[in-house]
Amino acid sequence: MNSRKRKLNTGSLVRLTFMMTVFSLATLISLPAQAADYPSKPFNYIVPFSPGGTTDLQARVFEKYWKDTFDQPIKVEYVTGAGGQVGWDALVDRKADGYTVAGNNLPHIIMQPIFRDTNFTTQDHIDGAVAGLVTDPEMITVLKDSPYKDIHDLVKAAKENPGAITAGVVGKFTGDWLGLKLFEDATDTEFAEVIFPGSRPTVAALLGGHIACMFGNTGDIKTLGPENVRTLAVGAKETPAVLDPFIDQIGAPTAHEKGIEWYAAIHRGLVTVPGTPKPIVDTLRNKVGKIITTDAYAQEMQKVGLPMLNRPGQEYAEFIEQRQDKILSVLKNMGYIEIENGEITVLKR
Amino acid sequence: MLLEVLGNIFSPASVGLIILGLAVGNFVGCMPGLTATMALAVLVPLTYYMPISLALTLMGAIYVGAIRGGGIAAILVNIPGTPSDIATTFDGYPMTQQGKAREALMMSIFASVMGGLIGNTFLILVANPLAKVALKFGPPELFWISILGIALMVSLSESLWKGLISGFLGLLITAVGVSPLGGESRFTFGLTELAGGVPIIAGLIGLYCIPRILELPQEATREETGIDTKQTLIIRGNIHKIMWETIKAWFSNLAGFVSALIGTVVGILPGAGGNIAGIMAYDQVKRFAKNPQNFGKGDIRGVASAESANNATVSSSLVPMLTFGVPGSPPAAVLLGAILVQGLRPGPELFTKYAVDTYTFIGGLFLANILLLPVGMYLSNMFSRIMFVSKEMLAAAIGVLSVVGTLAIRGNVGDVFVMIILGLLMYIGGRLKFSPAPAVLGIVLGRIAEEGLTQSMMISKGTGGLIPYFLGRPITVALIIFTLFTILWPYLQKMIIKRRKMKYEGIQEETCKYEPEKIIIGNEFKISELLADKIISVLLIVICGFIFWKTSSFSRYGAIFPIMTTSGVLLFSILYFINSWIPYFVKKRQPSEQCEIIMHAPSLFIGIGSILLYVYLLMPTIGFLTSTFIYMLGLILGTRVQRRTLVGKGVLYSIVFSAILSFSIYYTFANILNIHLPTGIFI
Repeated sequence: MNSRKRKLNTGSLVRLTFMMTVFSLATLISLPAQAADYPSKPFNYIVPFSPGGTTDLQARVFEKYWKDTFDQPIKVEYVTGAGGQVGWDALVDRKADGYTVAGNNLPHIIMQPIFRDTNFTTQDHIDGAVAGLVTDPEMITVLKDSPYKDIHDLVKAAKENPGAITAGVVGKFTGDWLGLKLFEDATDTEFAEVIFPGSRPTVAALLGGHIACMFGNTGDIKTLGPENVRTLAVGAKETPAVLDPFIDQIGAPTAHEKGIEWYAAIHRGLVTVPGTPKPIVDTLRNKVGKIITTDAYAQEMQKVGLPMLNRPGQEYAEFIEQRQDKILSVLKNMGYIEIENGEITVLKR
Repeated sequence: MLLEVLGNIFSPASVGLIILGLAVGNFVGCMPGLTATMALAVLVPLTYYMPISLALTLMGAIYVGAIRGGGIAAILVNIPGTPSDIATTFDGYPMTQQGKAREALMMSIFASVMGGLIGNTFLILVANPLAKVALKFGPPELFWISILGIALMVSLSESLWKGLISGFLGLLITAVGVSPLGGESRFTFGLTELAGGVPIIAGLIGLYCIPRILELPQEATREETGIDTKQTLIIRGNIHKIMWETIKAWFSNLAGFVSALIGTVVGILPGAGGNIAGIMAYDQVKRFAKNPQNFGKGDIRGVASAESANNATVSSSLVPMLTFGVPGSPPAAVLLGAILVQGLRPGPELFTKYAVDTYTFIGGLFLANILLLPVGMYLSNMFSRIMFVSKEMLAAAIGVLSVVGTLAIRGNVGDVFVMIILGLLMYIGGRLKFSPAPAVLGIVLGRIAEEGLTQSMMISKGTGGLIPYFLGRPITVALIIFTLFTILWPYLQKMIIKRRKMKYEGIQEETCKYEPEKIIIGNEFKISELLADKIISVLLIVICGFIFWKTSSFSRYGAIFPIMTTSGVLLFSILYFINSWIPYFVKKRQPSEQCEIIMHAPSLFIGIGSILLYVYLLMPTIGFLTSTFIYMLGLILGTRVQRRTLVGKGVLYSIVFSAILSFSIYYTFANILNIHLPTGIFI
């Protein structure tokens, strides 16, 4: 009995020594990396939306090609909540060493800092912009057996019953919501806005016939099933190529073709922690720019159904600035905000 | 095609992956804070390198294993590993306390197997019609489902008012953060850490784990001083006999079968699904059982019902996902992502063009459910060894897992703070007979209720209002009637029984839960229960007033839900306050006046203080791994010093235990699950 106890003790001591070695080794590994040998460890890729969504799909596409260009893999990390805010708030708190990137969405990053308390600012996203990746136009979609066969049927119905035709959108002060407001503006109509917390519940509500139409994006067509729905209008100059396989089933003319001047889209891109040293940001921008111009990447994007934007580096930063000016003037015109000497005051929610 | 599918399912690779998946799933499910969703998300890249049907089979097996694994912790330590295992604790833990842990574990495995198989059969045979039914559940139906869930709170609690109060407080917690539909920040007090609200998992961990951390060292002391009998896992009888008895017990009454059907139906509903299926089934089975008073005291039917129901939801949550792309649960959403990444899309195509892959996956789930029996038996034997670990070691391990589990949700340190505060409140509430189950149910249902109600209002705004809208929908009307029936059933039952001139068995004498103890260790904080009741109810009323004042600045759609739930809390608090005066006027209820609330002050302060120190001082300065090691070691040695049981050998064991555990936790979370953990001078 005694000898057995002693044996256990020595065993524990050996294990203890082993653990200590591991501890000290691990500490050594965690020493900060230098800019010269960047990148020397795996990247963290923050996805601010739930697994399985379009932002996640984008991350997964990168996951396939990242290592070939950077020699380091990415680790996808889900930091979700409050329509992406939790993820972007987390991003600005991370170390500005170029090893953390996040997917970002326009106009979310422009409107959230206006209407709520956020840690991040739109300027953070301009400073940390790595690349613009996706431009996903707003689309108005109804069920196949809906009485609205054409966008003008829907507009007519909305004019006859102001505030009674239900339109599903994802979240308030989001791209979908802005798309709806712009459509109401362009056609002088009023819909009953029904807000859902994500695209899946909106899809379920449309399929179940609980709402008359939904304002969504190209990705929704896949989950809705092209055999079940008809897209009445697309808020872009031309219908994106990712919809080509479904165009016979869903229609999807642009609003412009139908004589309505309605343009609205969600843009997605990649951003790193603001304040990251310039040489590191440049490396990141160049290499990501390389990935997104390859054919393999383009084919993959078409396969999973993400319409490409392709604005590398500085171009994306300027793009965000342009969109910011545009959205601020739209919100001002609709009476949501007031701008005085650069100070924004919220007038209504 | 059938042969090809069978060939795929029974290929050595597939069988091997299923067994591996079940094992991983059991482990993941057993740990509160590790969820099937996290494990599956990490495995999505596998679909790039292996055939999609194989990858999906592996992921499906993990999902099956995780939902079953949650039952292990629920039975052995009274901590549900996942929200769907809450109902398993009701009878599972009492069985452990009676030394029947083996029977409970065996039943949980067998019930999971049967529930899973029944759910899977529905997925194979009638996926499409079922999915169409699921789509009929729009915002108003989901709202009434959640009201039905809230009605169950009443039957989940010993005390009517306390059950309702804790349930409604749970609902109110979900109002914290950015309003999902109004778009404004609510009750965040300017803290952006609160913007995302309180995640369900953080609530579950706080309400169940923190009180256990504080109680375990006291339980150990009581065992040592002989107040309580030692709760060890006694391996009695032979395993085959127990297995046969379990199988007989499952088949001998309808509880398990009915529960599996309820689980299948509830699991299809998007959002509500898995989390409430166990509780719904448990409640129905208890309601219609011959002797409902046995439930909650270690009745095997309780375990059978809860576990049959929650494993049935695994397959049924896939029904709307595969047919319409609307996942019934978060793990199903990850599986959907894996399918979409392949360029496939849900819908008829999956059942025609890609039928071989799809049926290989569904068949793989069926096989996983069958293999769960041997794999589950082997693993639960292994896991039940945690009962032999000393209680302070168990407490330290649960402490670390609570923190890292909460961080794993989304790396938000604010969530950890909320989790600890909830746990502290629950510990105090627990002494006052508030139970955690209704509160967790409230947190689960809050968002569903708010979205359902607000969306119904938005839809019906332009066309005649909410009430005509509700009454014009048959399923809503049926749900309203069923909810009323659920609430009124106990009274109806009383009436029927009275008419038959039988004695109603359900009414029992009120007794003190915590008997005043003869042996007091350390400083105890004592207060008479009636006085505590009054203090708490007055506090609640004041808090309600504050919340009403806060809601005045919210947007219309952002304010409705907080106002409604706060009104509920206020109403029940007033009734609770009135109730606490009754004993002074009614002679019969005098005994409860002598009840005393006892709190062990040192373990309360040490427990909470050390965890706060660990997360907010140590972790940011010296890093996660080092601080975890120090926290665990400190807690174990500290408890032993206080109890004067520290001996030389114990120190070494504690160091080794803490080192191994903290390193394996660090490695699992940082390197396998890709969770961002704080680093400081060290890691």
